[in-house]
Amino acid sequence: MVQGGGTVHYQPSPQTQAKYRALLMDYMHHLEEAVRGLNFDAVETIGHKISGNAGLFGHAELGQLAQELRMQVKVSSLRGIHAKFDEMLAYVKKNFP
Amino acid sequence: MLPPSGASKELVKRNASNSEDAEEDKKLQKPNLKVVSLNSDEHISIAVVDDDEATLIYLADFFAQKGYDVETFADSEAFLGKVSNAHPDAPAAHLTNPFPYDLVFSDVKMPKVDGLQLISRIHLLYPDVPVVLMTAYSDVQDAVAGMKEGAYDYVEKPFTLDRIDSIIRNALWLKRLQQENRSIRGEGMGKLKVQGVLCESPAMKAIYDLLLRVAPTDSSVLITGESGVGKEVVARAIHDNSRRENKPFVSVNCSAIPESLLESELFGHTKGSFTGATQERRGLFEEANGGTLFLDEIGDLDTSLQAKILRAVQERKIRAVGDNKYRQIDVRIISATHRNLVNEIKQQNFREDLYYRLNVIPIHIPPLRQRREDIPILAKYFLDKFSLSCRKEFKGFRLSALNKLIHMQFKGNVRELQNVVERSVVLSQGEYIDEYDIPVTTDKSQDDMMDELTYDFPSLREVESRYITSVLDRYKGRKEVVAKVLGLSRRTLYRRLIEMGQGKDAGGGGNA
Repeated sequence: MVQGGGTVHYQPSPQTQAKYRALLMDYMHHLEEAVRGLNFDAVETIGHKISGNAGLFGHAELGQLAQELRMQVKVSSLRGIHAKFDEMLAYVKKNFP
Repeated sequence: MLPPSGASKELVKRNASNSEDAEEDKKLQKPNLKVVSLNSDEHISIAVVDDDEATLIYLADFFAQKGYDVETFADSEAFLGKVSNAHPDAPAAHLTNPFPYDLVFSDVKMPKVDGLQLISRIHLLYPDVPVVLMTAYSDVQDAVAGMKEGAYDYVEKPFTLDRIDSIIRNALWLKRLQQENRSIRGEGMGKLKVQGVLCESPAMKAIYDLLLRVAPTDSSVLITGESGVGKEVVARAIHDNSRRENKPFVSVNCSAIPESLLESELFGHTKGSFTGATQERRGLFEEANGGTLFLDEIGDLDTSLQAKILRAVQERKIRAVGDNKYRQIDVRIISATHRNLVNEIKQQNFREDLYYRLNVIPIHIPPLRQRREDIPILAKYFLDKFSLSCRKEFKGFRLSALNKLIHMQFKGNVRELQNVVERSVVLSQGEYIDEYDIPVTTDKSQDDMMDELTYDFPSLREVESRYITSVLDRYKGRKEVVAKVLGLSRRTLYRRLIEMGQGKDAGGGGNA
């Protein structure tokens, strides 16, 4: 996997990828708790983090979903939040089996 | 907020050559993917501050693969503690220690100290350190605010590595330029004897540069600036770096000598020229012959004397009081004033022709409050100076003390700073000057206090009452201390307070 686009070539080391996987699982766990607990501040914070870091590890789609989740928080759409979270969960299950 | 994972609580140091991960990488025979190299000999040290662990591990890995030293911080306060430049209790080691990183990448949104605060706290004492902000696309306004705060650049998350690489290249180029600049400036400064002129601010560095060019000439210099900014120090530096350095530097404060005596002081007098002139005396112009005459507070000069000074400056000739002959002189004139001479000309208090003669090279020294970067280095200088004279040893200032100094008004400028540090040295009993060693009395200058006391021309008795009240306020009603400050006995103070109608709690004994 070559990251970053352009002329700079970089491949996260296996250790880094493993650490990211563990972190993402941790984030998703906390995100699920926040969504269930209607803790919008926490949803926004975790969404902010995932939207910033997922693309770095080659998961731009997940980053985009996290960004859309934040938008749903902004408009206080409970249904939208649940829907986006479900999409994120499905993505993670598919790509991090 | 998401609690940080175990790893993120710790300061994670990633160094390609010695970290555990690097060892693991070797075991896994990770290919060396370093494609872009700035310069194999170039040592680059980068700090990354972000409360998002994923960004930290990503950048740590990327930078390490590129051969840079990288240190990551999940907590901005831990980072500030490490660089010890903005922690309130840390000693001000920065005065001697360089900043440990060439470049800092920082997230904007962080708990406790955010990215914008981080920039201002770094730049407070290390103004040249490039800080790059990392921000989400939707928070780009924060990045704009960061640029205003002095950020070197910003990147939007998720960022591209091309962008990161380009920022590092530019920052490194800037670092090289700064080093070259320092080296050139260092050579110049080596030649420039500027004892007592210490600065970090761009404004004062520009004055240094001007001094270098002005000093070797004979042009007249007019130094302007508020009282206490160091006008005489600059005048002395010009003299010390001129061809006249081995000749006299004569300083005269035009406002300190009575008008009736000033002419004779400046130009000298002959025996019997006036009552009391029992012998001939050379004036200060002649004393300074071959050297420099520094006319301080020239704006306070009487208009009749201005004409005589104009002739001396114009024709390089003087005539002593009572003498009918002119004498040739070779004196460089440096003058200074805290007044706005242009306004004084408009009000016909100052001769326009003299102004243009004196103002060939104008140098304006900004007040200390407009160049706060100079406060740490000046404070350290005065600390060393007074520690020596008081035979005390200090390791330096606590950062909280330095921060307090940096944020003080200093209407009395460098002179006031000098007094504050002297008082702190006398009062402090620890290894470091602490925040509470800095006297609070300097929040207002003495001029301000006098203005407050006398603005409506009160009676002497009223001034006394106001002064007592003011000292009581300053010492929070501690009457024993107040009595000492005022040079009164407690009994006399209580009596005065009763007379002033403040006797109710006078008997309470204060809380001294």
